[in-house]
Amino acid sequence: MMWTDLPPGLILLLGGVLAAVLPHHGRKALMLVLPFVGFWQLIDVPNGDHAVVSLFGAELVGSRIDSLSLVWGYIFYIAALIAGIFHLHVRDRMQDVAALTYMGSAVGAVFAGDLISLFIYWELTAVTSVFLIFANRTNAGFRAGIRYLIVQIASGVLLLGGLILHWRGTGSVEFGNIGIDAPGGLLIFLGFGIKAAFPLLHNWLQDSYPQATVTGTVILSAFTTKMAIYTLARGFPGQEELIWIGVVMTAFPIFYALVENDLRKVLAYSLNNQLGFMVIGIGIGTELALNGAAAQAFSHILYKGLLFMTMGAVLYRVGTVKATELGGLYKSMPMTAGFCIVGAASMAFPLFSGFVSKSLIISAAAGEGMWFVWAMLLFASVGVFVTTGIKIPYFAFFAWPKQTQKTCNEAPFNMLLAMGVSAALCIGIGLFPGYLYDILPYQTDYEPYTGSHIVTQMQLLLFSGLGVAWLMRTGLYPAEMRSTLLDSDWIFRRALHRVWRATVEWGTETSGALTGGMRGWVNTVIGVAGRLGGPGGLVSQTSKPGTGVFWLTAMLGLYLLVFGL
Amino acid sequence: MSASPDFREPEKYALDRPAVVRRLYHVLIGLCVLLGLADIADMLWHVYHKHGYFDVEYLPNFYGFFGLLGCIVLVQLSKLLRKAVMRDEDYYDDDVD
Repeated sequence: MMWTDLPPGLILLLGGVLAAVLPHHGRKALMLVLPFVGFWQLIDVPNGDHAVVSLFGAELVGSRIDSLSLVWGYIFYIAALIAGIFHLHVRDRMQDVAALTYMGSAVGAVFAGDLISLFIYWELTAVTSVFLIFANRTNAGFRAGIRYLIVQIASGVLLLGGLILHWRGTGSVEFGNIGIDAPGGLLIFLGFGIKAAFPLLHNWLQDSYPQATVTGTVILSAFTTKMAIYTLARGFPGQEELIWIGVVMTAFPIFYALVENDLRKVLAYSLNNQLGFMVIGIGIGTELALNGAAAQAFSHILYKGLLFMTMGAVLYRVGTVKATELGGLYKSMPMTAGFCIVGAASMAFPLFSGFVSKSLIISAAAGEGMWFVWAMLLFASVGVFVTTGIKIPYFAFFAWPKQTQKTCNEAPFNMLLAMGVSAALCIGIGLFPGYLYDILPYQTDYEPYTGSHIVTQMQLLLFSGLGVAWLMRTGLYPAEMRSTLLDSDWIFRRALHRVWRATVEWGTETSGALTGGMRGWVNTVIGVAGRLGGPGGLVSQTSKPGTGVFWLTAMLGLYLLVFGL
Repeated sequence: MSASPDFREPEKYALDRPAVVRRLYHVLIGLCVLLGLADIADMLWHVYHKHGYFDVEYLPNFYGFFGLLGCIVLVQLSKLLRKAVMRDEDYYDDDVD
């Protein structure tokens, strides 16, 4: 049947194509209605492989609906709807088309049952999403977009190479548990790793997200990285390397987040840290840990999206999200400030979503006796609370402004509504975690609300909050500064650039010497010939025919000598 | 997009008064003390049945001290990081429009 065999991603993707020709209201209607249609399809169609096609001996599965892909499917459609509401006031065909096709590609990738379909959607997410960065129509945005595109395409190329090796080695393109040791496994792993923002492969994220449009960043934050987390959970569950990669990912971004001035970049760093939690969960690979990774992806999309929306609203109203230029905004934007606090609390506090999802991963690590991983996860929890949970609301809405206090209007109604829906879901999941646990890949009887868990978590959070308050009152907390922090993007923005420039300079000098030398030779030849053949020159002297014959014979002799031998 | 910036009456909002902020700080300290005492109470009378995976978790207020220390370590290390990687805002001159 058509409906059953319709690959889920196509609903939004085709909508995006349609949006290219529809007028403003038609595009907005699509953005609000299609997520419901897609969600309904996921509920309506039974689990299993659909849209199976055989092509050149490869079995393509356009729609694989199972307990793992459904978690991501549900949350992607919820995120698409919230993004649609948040985006409602924007009149920009470029962003509407980019958003719909991008979200559709991400949904398609999650339900792709084979590597070839996955690769196509994988590349589509790259080329569609970049327009959310270009749509800012600034020089910096354009350059960041190009850098973003290069990295994203590189990830796709790695996936393609791995897919071909895998196909040749195993004779199958099925996208199941691959493992690094399988043919092409390492290439596929690295391809996924780029989009999952592994350490040193991460910096495209912090480089490009703050350059996207107000709504573009909100949309970007939900899909690409979480799609990569899904593919890791599908292809590399229990891959031990992921634990250590994840530990580094949870740790290093929080140091950057603490001293970064651009608050959207701070969120991008803390996003990187949260991905680390999921990567660790996948690396541990037990049922509890994989449930944790899925649950964390679900609640993370909601609260990180909410935080990006609040910063988007500030950017929209004030024109900047630099901590050095903000402060005291709770007076002008009280609702946005409230939603920001909900988003911040949702990362860790009891009764909010992060508390019931993150603890699955921490418990899984502790349950396996991995004390070091467990301690690092605790440290990362402290870090993300300090650098995001406290820093974002404090510097945007509460800190005393340094120069002049900005006054502005509250965010537009549609933005507030989108934030409200997200905030309600964050609290809803925190209050009734059973609904989230029911859709996880594995059955679980995990109980987050034990006295022990609540008290210890509150100790962790309030004491770290006390630490920040004490450091601020004593002046030890580093003041925000207008600055650029060097990260791994420096390697290709400066180091490689310098190598290239040095190469060009060296080449110019060398080729200059060469052309200079050649010209010298040519001049010498011309000069000598002129002297020989010019007036009074040796060759041009009038002389007896015998002399001419002599020279002719000499030349022939030389000719024979050179070419004959 | 934004209205023209101007100064507001400093006393109009409670949070603008240093005394209020100081009181909030003291409330936070009070809450922390209570949470720390909860652990001692649990050791003596098993108030909330603390359970953990590792022995260190049973030290009184382990999580509190971990949070406090973690926060201070994080801030101090970040300052070092700043010394190493911080540059002018327009370091990447190609970002300027």
